Amino acid sequence: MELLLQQIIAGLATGGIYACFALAVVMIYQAIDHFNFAQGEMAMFSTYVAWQLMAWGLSFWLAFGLTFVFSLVMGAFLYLVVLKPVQNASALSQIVAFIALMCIFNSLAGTIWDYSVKPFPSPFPETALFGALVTGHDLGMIAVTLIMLAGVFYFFKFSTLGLAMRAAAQNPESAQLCGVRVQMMTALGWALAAAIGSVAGMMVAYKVFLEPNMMYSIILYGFAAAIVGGLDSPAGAVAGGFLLGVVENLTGVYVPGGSELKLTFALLLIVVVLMFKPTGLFGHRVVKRV
Amino acid sequence: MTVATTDPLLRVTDLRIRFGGIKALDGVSFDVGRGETVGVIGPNGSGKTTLFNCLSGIYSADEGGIVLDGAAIRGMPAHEIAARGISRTFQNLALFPTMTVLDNVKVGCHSHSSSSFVANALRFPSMLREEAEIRDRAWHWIERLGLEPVAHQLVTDLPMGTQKKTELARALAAEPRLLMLDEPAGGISHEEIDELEELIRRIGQEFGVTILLVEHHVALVMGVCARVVVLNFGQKIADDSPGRVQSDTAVIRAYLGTD
Repeated sequence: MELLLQQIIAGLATGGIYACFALAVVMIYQAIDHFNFAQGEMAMFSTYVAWQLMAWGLSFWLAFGLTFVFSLVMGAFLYLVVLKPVQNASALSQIVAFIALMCIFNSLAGTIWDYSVKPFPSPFPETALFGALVTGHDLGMIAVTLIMLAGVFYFFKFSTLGLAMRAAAQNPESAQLCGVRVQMMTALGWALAAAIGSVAGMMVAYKVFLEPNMMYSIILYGFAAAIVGGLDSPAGAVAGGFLLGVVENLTGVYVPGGSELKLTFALLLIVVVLMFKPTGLFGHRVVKRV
Repeated sequence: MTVATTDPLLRVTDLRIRFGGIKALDGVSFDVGRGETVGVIGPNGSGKTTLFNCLSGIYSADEGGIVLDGAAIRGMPAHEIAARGISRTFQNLALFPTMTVLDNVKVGCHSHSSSSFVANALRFPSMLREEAEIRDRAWHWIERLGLEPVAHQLVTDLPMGTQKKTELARALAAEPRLLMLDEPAGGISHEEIDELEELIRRIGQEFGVTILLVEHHVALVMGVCARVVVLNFGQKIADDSPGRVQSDTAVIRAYLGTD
């Protein structure tokens, strides 16, 4: 029993990583009605920027703040320069643009900072809890995720700006006729998604270490968590992230050979959720007239 | 036979747009006076919806003039036309499906929100005040259209008639000078049409909104409009009172074909 509890807590700690990314995924999905496959690499790049700032002697939180601002600008810039020209093209063309961005960021980071694995500091105290399964960093990361969740939730639920952004993503033409500046909303959505991604990157880099390919598996879990939780629900995505972390951890402990099957079980969870509740556990059903 | 108005709210002159070889609008001119309710009818493909799309800025007309309250608006982006006071509803509903009725109507208030979005993000007190104003205004229209019982439901779960009413509330929340309704009676029941007729009349008379109405349901058009513009193959073939239009030979020929 104690082992179970410990594993669940450890799973929540890992889940915090996925939850962080799932939130960024939901943010961009709300703003553009698509996945952004370059999201992980964008976050990785931002994390390198933070690392560089700290290498130049800035404190963690100062580097954190500057990187956040840098990511806001980078997100809006990418939308205006790369994605706006293809936004009326087919979904396939957009996906190709996303994949191109992903490769560009990966190579760019490798070229500037080389491919060696770098340690990344944690701003949280180095204490171990629950039999060393959870560290101070885990708790700090979960707290940061929950704070961001509260911010995103407030933004979409209660602010007019968030409402306008949802409107612009759901039905751009109609939103425009209501006086919403759709392109500005989309640019803002990209900016916020990039910034949330950068926070996620700076939080997880301590655990997975900094290197250009650090996001490959994490972003997969992030997408998975967002799908499980529901793509239009920030809270659902965070819950999905924690759920994935716990399922993955329990699989590793209780299923024979489970540590090899962690990812398989996580992906199986997506399939099961999509079979029984295609909108995700917390998502809304949309009926489209054809 | 255009009714002479010296200072119309909307003046459309010689409007033309072509799609490839098709002249969807071929020199259409008409006025809409302040406070008037004007119907636009015509057989399928006669250019009614194209006209609406040009007026609201979805399409940019090739030639001609669109003047709203003295200001030329042809070629302006749709959000700016919305800000200048033209609101519309759609033939096939264009609501935001996963939002509640209240949220949909709140988006309608958007064209009026004054502070720019950076200021919106930075000046917290003014933002809060504005949010409260928008909420009040949205509620005002929800109450006037009797949508209170469903205000917090997602529009995708509601029946067609209620969704149409929500779209109408959203358009009205922008406090438009010109409200354009594209086939509001399409896809709703007979009882709902009677209610709609009453509602359109109220919007015109009680709320003082100028209305341009595209509709196939002839009885509805004849019931609420003081004047009817008839289009056929992108050209205006009649512009008169409902009674006269009904007996106009060119109109009868357009609907029934030449003998």
